[in-house]
Amino acid sequence: MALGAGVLFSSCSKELDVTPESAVSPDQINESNVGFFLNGLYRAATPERDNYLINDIRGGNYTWTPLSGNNSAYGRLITGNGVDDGLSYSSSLWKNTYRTIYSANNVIQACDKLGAQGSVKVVKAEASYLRAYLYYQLVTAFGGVPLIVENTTENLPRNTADQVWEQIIKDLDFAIAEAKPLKEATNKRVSKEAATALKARVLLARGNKAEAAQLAQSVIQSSGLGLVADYGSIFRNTASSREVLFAFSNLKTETNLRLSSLFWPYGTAWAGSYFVQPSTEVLESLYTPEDVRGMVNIDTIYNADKTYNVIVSKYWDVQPVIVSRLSEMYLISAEGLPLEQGLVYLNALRKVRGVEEYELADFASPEAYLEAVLEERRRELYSEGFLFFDLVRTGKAIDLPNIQNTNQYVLPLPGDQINLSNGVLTQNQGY
Amino acid sequence: MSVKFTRKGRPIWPKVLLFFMLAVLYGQSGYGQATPDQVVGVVQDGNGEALIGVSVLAKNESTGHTSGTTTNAEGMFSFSRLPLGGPYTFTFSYIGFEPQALTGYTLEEGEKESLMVKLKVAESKLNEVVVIGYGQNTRRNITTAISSVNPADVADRNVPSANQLLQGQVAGVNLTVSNGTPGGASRVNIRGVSSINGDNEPLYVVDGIPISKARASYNYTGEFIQDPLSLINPSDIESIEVLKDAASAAIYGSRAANGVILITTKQGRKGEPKISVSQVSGIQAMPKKLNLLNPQEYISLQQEAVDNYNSDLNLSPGKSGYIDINKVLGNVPADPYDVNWQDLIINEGAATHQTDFSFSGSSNTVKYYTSVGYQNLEGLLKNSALERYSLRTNLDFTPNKVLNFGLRFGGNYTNSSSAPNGDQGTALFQRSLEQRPYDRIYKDDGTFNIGGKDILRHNGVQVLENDLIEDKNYQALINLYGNVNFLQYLTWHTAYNAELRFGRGFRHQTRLHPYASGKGLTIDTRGNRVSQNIDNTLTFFKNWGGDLNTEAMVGYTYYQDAYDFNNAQGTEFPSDDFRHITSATVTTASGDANKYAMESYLGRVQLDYKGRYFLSSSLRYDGSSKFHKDNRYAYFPSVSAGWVFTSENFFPTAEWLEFGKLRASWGKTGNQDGIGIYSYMPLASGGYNYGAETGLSVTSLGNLDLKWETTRQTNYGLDLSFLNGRLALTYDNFIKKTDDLLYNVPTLATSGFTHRTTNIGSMENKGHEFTLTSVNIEKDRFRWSTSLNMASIRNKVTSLIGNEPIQVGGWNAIIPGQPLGVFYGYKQSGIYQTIEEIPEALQKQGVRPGDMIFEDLDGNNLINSADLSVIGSAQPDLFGGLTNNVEIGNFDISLFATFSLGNEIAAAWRSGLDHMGGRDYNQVRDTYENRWTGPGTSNDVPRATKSAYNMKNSSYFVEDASYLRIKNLTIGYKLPASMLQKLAIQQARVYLSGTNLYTFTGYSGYDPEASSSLDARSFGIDNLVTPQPRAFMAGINVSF
Repeated sequence: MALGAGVLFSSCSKELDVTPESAVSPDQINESNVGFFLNGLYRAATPERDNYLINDIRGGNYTWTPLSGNNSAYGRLITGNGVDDGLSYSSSLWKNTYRTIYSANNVIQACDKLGAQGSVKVVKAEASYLRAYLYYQLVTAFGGVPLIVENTTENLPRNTADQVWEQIIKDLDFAIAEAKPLKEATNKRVSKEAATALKARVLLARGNKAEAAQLAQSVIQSSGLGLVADYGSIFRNTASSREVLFAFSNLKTETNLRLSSLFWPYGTAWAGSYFVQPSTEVLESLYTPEDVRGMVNIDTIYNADKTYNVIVSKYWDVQPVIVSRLSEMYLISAEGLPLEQGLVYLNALRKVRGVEEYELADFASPEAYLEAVLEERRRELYSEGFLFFDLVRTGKAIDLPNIQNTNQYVLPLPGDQINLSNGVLTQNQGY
Repeated sequence: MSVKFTRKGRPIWPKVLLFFMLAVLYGQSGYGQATPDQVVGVVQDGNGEALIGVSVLAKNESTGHTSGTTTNAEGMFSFSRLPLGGPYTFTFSYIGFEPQALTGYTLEEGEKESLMVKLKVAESKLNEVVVIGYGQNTRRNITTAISSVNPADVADRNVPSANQLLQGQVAGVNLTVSNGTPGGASRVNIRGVSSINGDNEPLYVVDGIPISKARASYNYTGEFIQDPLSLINPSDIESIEVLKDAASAAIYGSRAANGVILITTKQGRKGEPKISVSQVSGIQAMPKKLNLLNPQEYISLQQEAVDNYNSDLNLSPGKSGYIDINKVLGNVPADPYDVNWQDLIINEGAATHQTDFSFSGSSNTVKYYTSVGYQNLEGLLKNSALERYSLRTNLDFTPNKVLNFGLRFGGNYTNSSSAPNGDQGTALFQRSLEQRPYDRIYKDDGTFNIGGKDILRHNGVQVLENDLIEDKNYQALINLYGNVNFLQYLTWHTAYNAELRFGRGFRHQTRLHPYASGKGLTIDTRGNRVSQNIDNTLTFFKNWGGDLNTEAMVGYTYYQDAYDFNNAQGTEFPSDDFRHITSATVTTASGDANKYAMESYLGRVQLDYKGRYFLSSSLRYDGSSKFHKDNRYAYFPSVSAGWVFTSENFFPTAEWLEFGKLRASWGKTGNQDGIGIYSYMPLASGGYNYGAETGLSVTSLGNLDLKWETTRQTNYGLDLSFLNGRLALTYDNFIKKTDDLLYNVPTLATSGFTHRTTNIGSMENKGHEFTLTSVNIEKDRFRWSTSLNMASIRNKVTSLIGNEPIQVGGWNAIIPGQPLGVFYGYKQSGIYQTIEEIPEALQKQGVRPGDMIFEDLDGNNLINSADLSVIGSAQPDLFGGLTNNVEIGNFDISLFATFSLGNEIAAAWRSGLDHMGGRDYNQVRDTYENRWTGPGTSNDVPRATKSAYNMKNSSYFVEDASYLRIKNLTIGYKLPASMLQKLAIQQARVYLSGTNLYTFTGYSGYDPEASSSLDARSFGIDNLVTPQPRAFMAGINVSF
């Protein structure tokens, strides 16, 4: 009996200590693996397709298709009707960005703990850039947001937009100081030039045109890159393009993000959902026939029965997701410098793209010149996520048919987050 | 068996072997004694077969001395040490038989009495055997709420999954067949929902083997989730017991919070070897089709919607935002005839077959049951089907009165193919119905019209032909047990139980599939699951002086579930001749393994005094690896009592009231299902590579405070039996309170995580259950019986951390004071009839007469998240089943109906098919004909417009889905014995059966039971899932 009882009641308690086989405790971060966490951060920071293109969707570059309809999330942003705090864009942008900011903070905090020397400092520089890029997306979409630079589960109110912009500049300054120069790095990782380029974009947004132009010029000089004649190759063979300062690597075996899938119909080479197509305005007036960009960006595909679809044909297959490329630096220089100097950059770009160069006399006023630069940005950076915010920062977005008042320059915060915060988070005016 | 079950690194087999050795040793010594017998006897059943284990009690009526024994494998018993004298009374009792007493025997020196007893099978339901956790008992003695279903009593329905046999049979068990895919999972709620996290399903225990709750499908097809119970052949089932209250289920403590369903498979019976063959075949059809607009009506609706929209917003051609009717209508053919897309994807006359063969019997020392079965069930969508091959062998050995042991083995294989439907992008029903009515499958040149390009939506025929989806399962169920009866009162039980499940999912999309256009895609998944448990119990049983029976049991169980899988995907194949990943250009793979374990110490005491007073109490101490060391263990106690008041002397003996019993029970059960295996741990996971370099990411903050979710349940019950059992009534009342609800609760995204598993609150279920069975007429060749069961259950979330509504998806919320998973949306209170009624802010947004009035709860003249409120609930107020059986001569007729009242459905599909022009899709006719067209024309259906305003998730889309369903009508005929004798056939019956014949309901969709999800938080959202088919079958059962 004693033996029996022994068998009966032998305990298995230790068997209940089960540990996972594909994960470790996060406190095991150290000098030898902090780079792995940085890689994880790069992966997470790769923008989602629709978030990447939201400024094109809102800025008038597209219209909806029968497949998406005027009442889809695309249709609503395009018409401006029915945009409320249940908007899926708001929710995914807010949640994904903060999730990635957590990873960035995690890497930066670990670097600080490890002493931020040598290679650790470079890791921190790259993570700082990515955090700045994430907050840039938040502040341009929502205005002031809770500024979290040390991870916390606290319920925090919104900071002002100015505070967010300040933090972005601070992070970029660190990245500019400590990241490797582009010549020693690859364009799928953050370099000194990539950070400088993003800072130029930020300063332009803040109205500091002169310094923005100065930074843009320095990138043109130091990067070792140049404008390429084959505009299409930038988007269809991105990995080997000489125009790219920084792009997320986006391998098919990793993030596998297909920008093409938003534009190409099913049953075509880069089959996708064909949710948006070029707006009438784009089709009728954006490109002149000799502009190589028009031929790359817009195409008409014909069916056997002679019906046809007009599509945004810029992207093929799966390519790295471009954050900064050299022509943006030309455009920032063109916009930030006085007319005479700026026009040099604008014309340099136009020449490569096969369009006629401007004369000084073409511009009766600085406003007319700015208008021309913005139009050139629209042509050059079509479907690269710029248009709407360009119109916002220059005060022109109010003229858009989907914008009734300046409250609508920013999106509503996701309603469920407002509810979860018990009113600590406040909604943007008008939503 | 190649499976090794180890604890602390040592194999467990030596312990099991030791147990058998002990048993054999004891068995031999037990037979070594020789004392002259005073009384010998044999106990048999009506057929002269020996009954084993019959309890025999000898009582000296003058001295009160008692002594007891049991019959051996030959049905023999003997007494050798009874004091001389008398008179003695011998009482024989055996589960399932009427007790019998022989009186007036006087024992004298040297004389030997021989007794011959034949026991009669108990007629009354009260003496039915009921399987309880780790034991069995009779209905008469049960003090808890246990319901039994005998599949033999359920009308022939050819169900794909054994649990569907329970639908409408047991009060308080709400089984909803949420979609009609063959083998698809049903939702089973025992006494309401007691957990928030996904898992509200009961624990299924087949012959002692706890079946893993993991789905048996490996592809994601939108609606098809293969029920693990579909792997088992329902024809092998002898009985199903539902442990409803905490006191009955507490013995399964750690996993019993949602109730326990015990399934016992068949075993051989006394008598000649028996061969049974049965065959049933039938066809199935769509129960309903939706009435949509024809091309002319469609064009006119869209024109009206476009005109209204453009004029509301002052949009003229050329102006941004102007909607061009030609873009909406697309390519209208010159002869726009009506294409009925609904019919193109349906498998009309889907076939169903089931064939079973079994061989069973029993000798003195062994009972055997062997069966093979085959089932093939086609689905209503083309390409969907389930095929099952099953094999079962049950062997029970009783070599002597000390030892018995056995092996129950089931081997099953299923192959199911499914079609994408429900909430998937290429969902067949929705996408097909949404097409413009003149959109066609093929272009003139015979190639497919492409969705989104040539026609409006995904081409269902193209999808069906180019998307191959297969799930295969190989399952072994092993139950190996042994019992040793020793020291007169003790029984030692050991069992090893295992479920091995090997699964494979394969999906191939050809180059013609819209998603894989020109490239091809293959997804290949393989998973292995091994769940095992060891049970050891020691039971003490003793009768004290004839009136008091005691049973005490202690035990230990250990459970372990290990799963590993790998998943490979490949795209860009050279041509459609290549289907496997070897030929793909781009491949990705993932694989992982995980494991969790539980251990439990358990004990139970049962007292029965004079068959009149019953008391039972159990305690279980459970640990689960899903919790941090400090919160790992919890106690789950229970107590129950019963009083047969009709046996009291003071109770007037009445002919009409044969039996009455009051029951009361209380118990506590636990839940740790439905949360992640490693939820409590903060984790940094692999798999976040970047640029082909290793990447890691923090994926969980963990929660070290996570602890058991516990449910306390109090039950009061009354059993009454009238007129010699012709009328029986059972009533139960329960209150079930769940605390420390486990939930993956939404958190502020600024924390870096959108969810965190936490113990967040409490929930309550209160209910009444009635079961009534009645033999209305009983005559020589005519018998009519009725049984009715129903339950009314109120579920309420009683508290939540923060007490704020937690939104779940787009349609649901968890709100304190409301049932779990209420529909949450805008409340439509009417239609604006004139412009004056519309607040200015809304007018600016383009709201016009004919648009919906939504209640503006915060009064800010805007409609936003602050105006969301409760707009319905999928939980019924009352549900149950009604069965009528009539036997006339050799004919039998059975009519079975199920009903549910007060349950609502969020008809999410209507947002795509009842948009009144808000989308470019087709539209259902009913509301179109009743739309608002001017002041006073309608106060609930809006006008036609392209605006999105009326398409918000609102009460407009929530419908009452109460129903009464004629679930089954069967007419059978037993062939006369005279005819069969010549063919050496014992029994033969032929029958015709119709299932889901008609459903009385106001719901506008296909099926009022429909739900796209099995999750209690979001139950009752219908994305046009496949309805349950209407089936007509013919069958024959023959036994030799």
